[in-house]
Amino acid sequence: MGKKPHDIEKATADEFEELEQQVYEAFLARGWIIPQTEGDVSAAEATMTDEDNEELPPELRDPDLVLNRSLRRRGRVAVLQPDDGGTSELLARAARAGKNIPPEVEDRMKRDRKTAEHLDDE
Amino acid sequence: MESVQAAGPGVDLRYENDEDLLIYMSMRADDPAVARAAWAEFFRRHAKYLYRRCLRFTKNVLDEAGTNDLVQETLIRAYDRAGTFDAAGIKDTERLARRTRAWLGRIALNIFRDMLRDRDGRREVPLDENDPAPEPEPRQTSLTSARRQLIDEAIDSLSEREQIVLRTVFQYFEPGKNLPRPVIEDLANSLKTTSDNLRQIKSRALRKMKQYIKSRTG
Repeated sequence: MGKKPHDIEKATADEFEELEQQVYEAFLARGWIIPQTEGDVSAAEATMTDEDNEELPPELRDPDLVLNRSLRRRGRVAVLQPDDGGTSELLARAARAGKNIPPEVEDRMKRDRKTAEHLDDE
Repeated sequence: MESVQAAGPGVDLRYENDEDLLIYMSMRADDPAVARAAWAEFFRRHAKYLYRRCLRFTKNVLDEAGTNDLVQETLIRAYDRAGTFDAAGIKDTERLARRTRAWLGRIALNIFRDMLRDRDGRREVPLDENDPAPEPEPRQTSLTSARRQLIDEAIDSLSEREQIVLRTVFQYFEPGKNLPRPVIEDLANSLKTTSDNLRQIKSRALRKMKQYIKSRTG
């Protein structure tokens, strides 16, 4: 005795569901789908091979530059980054007060100044 | 949150979890220095992952500069909207990192759609990236390597149009829900077809794949 029609329909639907699941996994492994759930992030990370080791391009390597570039586009860069005159003023104010500038603050000032110079060169 | 209260300039943020980094970033008006340090650490953890995913996702769709823009804009939007991240009470650091990357994925997908719309001169209809897709049970892969190869061959046997339809359908699929209407409209517009025809293309593509697999396995 053969299968009843609704059994055949159910079997076909199950087959398609299984195929869809497998196609989904294949797309995820190919990188054709951006993982949007924790499970998919896990699966995508598991399928990454030694060949998936592209380095960031130079323009995306420095987080400060990326942030400043984006804020500058919106005209907000001055909020986060004092210009060279501002830095000099801070240094002068600290000198007048006879206080030593903490090394981490000084480092950051120097780095901001360098970043500003670099941005101007772009 | 205690760790946020205790943080200050010069603090080492390497051991903070992603939720705390995002909280520091959201407090940039109060403490720009800590926000900047949190951003740098967040970037160090996730930029390379995001770049690698976007590189594959945008292949043949965006050029190199477009992909770089997508990565940059995704990270910047995460910075801008850091306060909207929902950790859902997760404390496990690795799981939190996966949730963060899933959130970045939703942001990237939204920006990608905007980029295509800009390119095609269509109006912007953003999807809510703060409304995460239901989190299914962690999936165990059902593919053996031989089956995977067969599925890959079957995918390659499809036309580009069929591949695009399947990619889009699976990208936005949520159990028990129809595809978002703006996504259907986008896809129909870009393929110059109707939403009814999209359903037919999808069904035909799956049938073709099934036949291909049957012809190889007997």
